[in-house]
Amino acid sequence: MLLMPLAGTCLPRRPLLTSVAMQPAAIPADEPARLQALRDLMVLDTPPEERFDRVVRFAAEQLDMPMALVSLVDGERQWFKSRIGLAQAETSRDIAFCSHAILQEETFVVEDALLDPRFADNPLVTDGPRVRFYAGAPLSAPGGERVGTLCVLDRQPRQLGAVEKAVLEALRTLVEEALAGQDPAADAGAAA
Amino acid sequence: MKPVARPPAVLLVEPQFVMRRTMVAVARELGIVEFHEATSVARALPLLASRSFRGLVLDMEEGEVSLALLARLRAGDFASRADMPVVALTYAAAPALAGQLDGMQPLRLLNKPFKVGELLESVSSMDLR
Repeated sequence: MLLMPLAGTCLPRRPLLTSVAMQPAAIPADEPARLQALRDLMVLDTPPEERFDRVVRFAAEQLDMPMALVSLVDGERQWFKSRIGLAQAETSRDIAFCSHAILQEETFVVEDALLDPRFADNPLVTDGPRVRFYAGAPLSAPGGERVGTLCVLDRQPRQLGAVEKAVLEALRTLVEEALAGQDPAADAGAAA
Repeated sequence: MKPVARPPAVLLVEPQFVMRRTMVAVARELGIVEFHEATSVARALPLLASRSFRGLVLDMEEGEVSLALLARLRAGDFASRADMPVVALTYAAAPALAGQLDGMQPLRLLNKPFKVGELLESVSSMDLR
């Protein structure tokens, strides 16, 4: 058995006893550069901003999801720059679905967490938000380092259709632009 | 080498930034149409004057201004064919507008809020000659 401390504000702060089945994500090969790129964005622990929130709202509405997040994977935690449907502002990195998602370029999908040995006894699945479905599109810093995700979550198992996946990935681009300090909406008048 | 056919060019007039950018990206990713963007009727007019499109998606938020654009399209004022298919993005709370659109066929109405997939289905079903 493994002792698993949690840092999430609404998750139990006592150590959790978990079975050996839960598999924390591997650390990315470029971790030092990735963390530096994340800090260079100067977004961690900043207040909510409409340019992120409107994208997260739209993702939740378009994909009919009760939860949607811009999650940034820091050294020991994932911190949410924007969130819908989730009370806590951060969780331990050990239990973060997004820690798995940043290991690949493609959108990371877990159709039913209870059937996936990596997540079946994850406290985010068995307790708290009771996540069953997860889809996360990795967010890249301007240098290409994957620093987090735009993700949607459901309490029901489900699948992600081709249009839904394309919508999530289109919105991911908007979040990346916002992370890079661009405000494309401010330039919308020039879009025509 | 056989040239790759480009998807039909459709003009999208939509003021909401996140919705517009998502429509454009998803349509491109799925190879459905090539949207050209305009944020307002005023910005759409020079585009319609300068080149031909195979279809039009028009947010009706500008009311009479949007209707005037449609009337000019049907009168043959632009580079596109006068019977170019149109998807009009309307609001369920605006039944009077729907009545005014009756004479602007071929035209489909799509009430906001809608899913991007619903819009793409409407666009895919247009006669994009």
